[in-house]
Amino acid sequence: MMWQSFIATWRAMLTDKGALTLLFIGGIIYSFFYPLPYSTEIVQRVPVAVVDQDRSAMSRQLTRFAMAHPSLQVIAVTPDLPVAQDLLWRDKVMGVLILPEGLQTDVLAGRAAHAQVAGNGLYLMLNKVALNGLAEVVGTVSAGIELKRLGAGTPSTVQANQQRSPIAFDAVPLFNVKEGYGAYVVPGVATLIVQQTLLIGMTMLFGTWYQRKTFPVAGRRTAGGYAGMLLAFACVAFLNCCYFFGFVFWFQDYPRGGNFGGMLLLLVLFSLAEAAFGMLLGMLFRTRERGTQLMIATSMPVLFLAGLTWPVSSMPVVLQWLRWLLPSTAGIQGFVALNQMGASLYEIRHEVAGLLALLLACVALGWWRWRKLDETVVDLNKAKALDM
Amino acid sequence: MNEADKGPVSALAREWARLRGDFWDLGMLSWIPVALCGILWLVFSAGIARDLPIVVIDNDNSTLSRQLTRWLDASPGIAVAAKVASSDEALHRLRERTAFGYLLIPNDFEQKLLSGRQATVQWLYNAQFSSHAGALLRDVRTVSTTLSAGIEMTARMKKGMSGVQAAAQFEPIRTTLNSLYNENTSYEAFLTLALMPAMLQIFIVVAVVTSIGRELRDGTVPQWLTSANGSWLRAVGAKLLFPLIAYCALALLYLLFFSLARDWAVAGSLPALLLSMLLLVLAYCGLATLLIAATLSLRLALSGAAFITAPAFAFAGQAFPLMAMPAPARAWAEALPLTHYLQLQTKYWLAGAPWRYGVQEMLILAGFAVGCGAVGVFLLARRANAPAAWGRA
Repeated sequence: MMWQSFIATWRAMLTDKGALTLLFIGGIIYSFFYPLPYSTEIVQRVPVAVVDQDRSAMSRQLTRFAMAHPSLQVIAVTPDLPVAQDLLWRDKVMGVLILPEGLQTDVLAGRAAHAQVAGNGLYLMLNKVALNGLAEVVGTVSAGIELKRLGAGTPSTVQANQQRSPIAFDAVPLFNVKEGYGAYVVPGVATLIVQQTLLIGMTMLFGTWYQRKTFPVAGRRTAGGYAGMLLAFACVAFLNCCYFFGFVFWFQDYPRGGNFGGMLLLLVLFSLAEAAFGMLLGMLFRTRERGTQLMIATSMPVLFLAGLTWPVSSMPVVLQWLRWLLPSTAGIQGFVALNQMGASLYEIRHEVAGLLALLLACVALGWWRWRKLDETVVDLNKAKALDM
Repeated sequence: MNEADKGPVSALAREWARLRGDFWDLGMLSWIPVALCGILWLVFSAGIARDLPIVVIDNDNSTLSRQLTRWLDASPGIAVAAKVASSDEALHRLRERTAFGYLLIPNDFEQKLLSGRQATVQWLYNAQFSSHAGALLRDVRTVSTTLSAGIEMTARMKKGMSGVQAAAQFEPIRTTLNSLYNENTSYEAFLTLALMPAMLQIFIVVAVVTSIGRELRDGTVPQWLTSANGSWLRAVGAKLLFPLIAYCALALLYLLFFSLARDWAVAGSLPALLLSMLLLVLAYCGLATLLIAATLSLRLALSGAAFITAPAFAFAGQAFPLMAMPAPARAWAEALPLTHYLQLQTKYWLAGAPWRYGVQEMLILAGFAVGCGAVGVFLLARRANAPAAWGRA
């Protein structure tokens, strides 16, 4: 019974053009389309403006340093603040360096001078590059002045430099060592794409079966029938994950090659949980398109709930718990930890436990719905009046 | 009332009756978008991530190293979860995701600093969790720089300088850093506000495509057209009216919620922002009409909607900047009304720009609405009322 159901489900998937596209082609299209905007990975040459109200040798030196900075592009030098504001509102610049009148006089007199650096806080990545770049420019010029002063009283420039900054700070990125944006986002989204295309495809099939009063597994609803269908859908999730983790991560050159054995184990668990989740969900749908409608709209909330782009600890406690009801939550976290960070199975034990619990719950509920399927199929006319 | 005026009323009545009879379709116009937008807001409602866990490897265990650790823990963005003995232990914490970075303090830390030499601390962080790491890097660096500056000042004052003199000496040009329009770089302002229209466009396209596509799937185009007195303009108009009202209301709802309840007041031109919102809804009504008219298949149009609207936010230039995208991605981004609308919303709502700074984007949105809408209605009029176009699943 199980293998009959397994084969019948595969046949149903392969003969439905809509489901076929979603289950097998959708992931491939998205795998090229989604990483596209991030293919340059990092931001360079962010446009900035310099507002030079001092017009001194020192302010010109600062401007020259800004022009030479690799991550900045000075597109305007002006004494007028409104000009800079205009450029900001037109999105022509993302940062501004303001050098007030009296800057050089203050420095020469030994008073602390102030320069202002402003970035557009509504574009976080550009803001960070603009702020860091401009702060470095001012810091370099400032350090030059200080070193000259210290140099008078200390024997060597090395020593002077050490006195100037007693604690050196050395930041080292781990795992995603090139700090690519795509390498950060896409591995998580890959799991989401596998989940959403599978769920859309499955709800489409279940909705169609319900509508047409045909079901690939004929006769009594047995445990074997349920298991066969579950395995068939799990295969789809498994294959899609293999494609993403094996081919796409290599093709895009994302950090990878972590814990292969662990990945395989989580993959089996994840695929089964997805299939059980999808079957439970699918049995709720009465029309071919309903699942698609709902699933397109849930993609974004589902991604953010996974806790990859926003710390879980900063979410409301209710969501911290509810998010485990989605297989993607454990899947995204678990696969990123295994594939990109080389975590051990022990280090993803929460994800394993979460998926296992979800699998058991979905199978229990799904099996209960599955046995009721007989009645619903017979009773189609009554149901039709309730829901188109 | 003459005959011509009855047309739209009956087409509207027909559409309304259909919606009322369909719990889920009505839900897609009302409580479902509100619920999903609500969840998104809840996720980011904290605005700024606080107390992200890190660990410290303190090989020095001196007064100064302990002070550094205490200061780290006191920083609002950081929580020192534990002191660990080795890098292996720290890496284990990182892989477990119970810490997102670790600070390595060398064993000669205090000794070096007291004797006037430079000591290096290493900050190793999980760059795979980029936004966690970004917030942490800023805070850890600030703490380390503050301690460093304190030590330098003390050293100078020991040499007989006054406090003021020492302060002016040690950094001749001070820098004040400002993140304009969003001082705390809050994710609530930067991300949630931009996510709301991103959700909105998904719902608009799905609703319009469903509403028109269903007539095609069920082969009820003749009845639909008859109810509109044979006018395609009216027939499509009746289909668009309910989504238009529902999603303009949703746009107003999030505007009111964030500006009044969450205190993100509209700093720039409010009329221009309202007009932009209307144009966004119209532009996507037009795009959706074109999508279903071009495919004549509910399933294909929904797949198209998934492809165009679900990843649109990734292309819209809010999280990852447009200027860093390769040409094809940039071109796709420019072809999405969402990209242009988000620039308008950012300008008018938070950056405080006057109305004239968004004229170009508004014209683009209007162009999408009229252009796509006109081609869509034209295609429907040419192709939709033929049995060959019906029943595709």
